[in-house]
Amino acid sequence: MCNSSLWEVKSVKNPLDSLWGTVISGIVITVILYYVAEWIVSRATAGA
Amino acid sequence: MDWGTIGGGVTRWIHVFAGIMWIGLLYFFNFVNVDAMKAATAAGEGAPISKYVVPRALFFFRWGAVATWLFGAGLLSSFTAPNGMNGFAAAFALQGAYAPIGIGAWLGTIMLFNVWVLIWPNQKKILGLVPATDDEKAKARRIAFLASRTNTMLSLPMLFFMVTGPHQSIYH
Repeated sequence: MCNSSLWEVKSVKNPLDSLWGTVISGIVITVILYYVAEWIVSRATAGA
Repeated sequence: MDWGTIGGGVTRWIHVFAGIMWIGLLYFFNFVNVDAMKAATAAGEGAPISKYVVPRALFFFRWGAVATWLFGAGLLSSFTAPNGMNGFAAAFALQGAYAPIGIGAWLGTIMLFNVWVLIWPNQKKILGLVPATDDEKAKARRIAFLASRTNTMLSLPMLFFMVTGPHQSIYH
């Protein structure tokens, strides 16, 4: 017999449903994109 | 002072003015109106907000978005990238030093798309400006809400890249 609690599906909350979740998601995306931009700019500077 | 400099300054001024109008109203919807509407609806007083406040706010919201994008595009086009490309093309192609402002421009473009393709058509159903069943209205409410929250989320990096784009030292 399998333990039914192991297979319990937990609903994942959408961060956009909460204002703080939205703001924190925005900050996380900002940090990721900052490193993307830095990589592109430094690559161009190194090539120049 | 030459006319090109004056034109660039005025274009930037209108771009920022329209941007404050757009993002200010986006923040009004998300930080104030969502909870205010919930409380007013629970008290049986939501109708006046839907009838008198939201349509007016949405008018300046959606046209502010268009003006922001157009004047931003005009501003970018007035520059020439070091590789000779037009500033608008260089930004959207994420070329070298134009990459940060280009990321901001892409985010703004996605947000403009959300306003006109997801938020406004669904808000028209919610406000009863176009016919919709109760089921369609409930679906429209969720889509408009998530698109609006997505824009609030994207506004953070968009503003970051808009204000830091011209200040290259932070990317070295």
